[in-house]
Amino acid sequence: MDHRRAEELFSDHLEGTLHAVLRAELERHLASCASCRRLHEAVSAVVAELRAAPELEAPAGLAERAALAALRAPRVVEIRPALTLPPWLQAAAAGFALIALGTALAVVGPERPTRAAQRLVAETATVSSSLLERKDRLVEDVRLLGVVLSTAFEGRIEKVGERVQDYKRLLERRKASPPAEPKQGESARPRDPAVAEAFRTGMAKHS
Amino acid sequence: MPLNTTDADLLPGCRSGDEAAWRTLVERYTRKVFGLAYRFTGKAAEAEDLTQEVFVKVYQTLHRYRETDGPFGAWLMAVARNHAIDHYRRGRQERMRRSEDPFVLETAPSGDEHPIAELEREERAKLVHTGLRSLPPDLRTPLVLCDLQGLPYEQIAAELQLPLGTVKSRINRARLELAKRLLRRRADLVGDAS
Repeated sequence: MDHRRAEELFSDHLEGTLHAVLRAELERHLASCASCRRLHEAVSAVVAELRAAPELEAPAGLAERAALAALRAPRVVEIRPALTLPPWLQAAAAGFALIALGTALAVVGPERPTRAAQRLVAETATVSSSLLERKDRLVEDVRLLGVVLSTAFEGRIEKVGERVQDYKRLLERRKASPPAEPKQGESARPRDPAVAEAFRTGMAKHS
Repeated sequence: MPLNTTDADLLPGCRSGDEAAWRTLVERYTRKVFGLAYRFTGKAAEAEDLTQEVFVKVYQTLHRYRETDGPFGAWLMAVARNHAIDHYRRGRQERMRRSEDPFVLETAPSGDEHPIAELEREERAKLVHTGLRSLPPDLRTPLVLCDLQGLPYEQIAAELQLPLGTVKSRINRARLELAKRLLRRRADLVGDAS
């Protein structure tokens, strides 16, 4: 066994967790190598010293300063939502409810819907699609806000600026590609495949 | 506040904003929290800041503590340890090796030791603790958790989010580093004496 390998085993040896074969090998090495023996004894002394370390005295007045710091810090208020459903689910549910309404209108509507009714169904589906996209953005906003708040709460003030910059960059990217606004009277096709399918089915039934 | 007031007696008052109860509780644990913070940071000023942050955190999360979680002191020290570990993680990239003057340590009672043996022990204690503070945080933190906090390797690995083998290797390297400094110092003393 060389010196380096012997050193790697010192802690396991001192804690009695070394395998019997390795222990015997290390002890043979220690018996024949004075420098490793000295180092092994020194490691043992270090461990004993650390484990017997007395408690340190706190600086005078620290307890009072710490107590005051806590009393002056803003209290954390836990906001409990009235509904147990997460916000993204609520937004998604609203979107799907609109889709269902549009589909239902198409299905149970008059045998030969007027052009105005067809337009209503198309617009409902388009609005639903737009709502879903806005919901995604809202969820992303809330998540980013949470990151900024938790960073500030953890006291990493230097990181808060970075998180705010991240958010600004995101807003700029959004400006470059704004969500599609449903235009009045436009018979736009929804982008969501589920919405498109509902829309197609509904329209086919009345054609 | 009576001296025999327990933590459990103080907690309801602390939660409802009784400042005297809170001050008593903080007074009771400041030394322990500061000791932990100082072992982690190696700097008195940084340890003071960390101690204050720990008590702010404890005050803000008092409502989460339940008697079923175990003794309040153990819960508080776990909060303190986790905060110190977070502090270590945040500063991992920024901190540099320290070169502060040695902090005055309380030494263990000497009893009826021989004066030379006592001097040697004091010298060794000083060297080990000064050496501990000058270790890089990646070595010092697992060593503090192991030898000063008495945590098992598995828990250290979990708290530092490091593989078990890495933790064991870092602890061994930290001990070796301190032992080598001790031997060098002894060699210097022998050289001076001859």
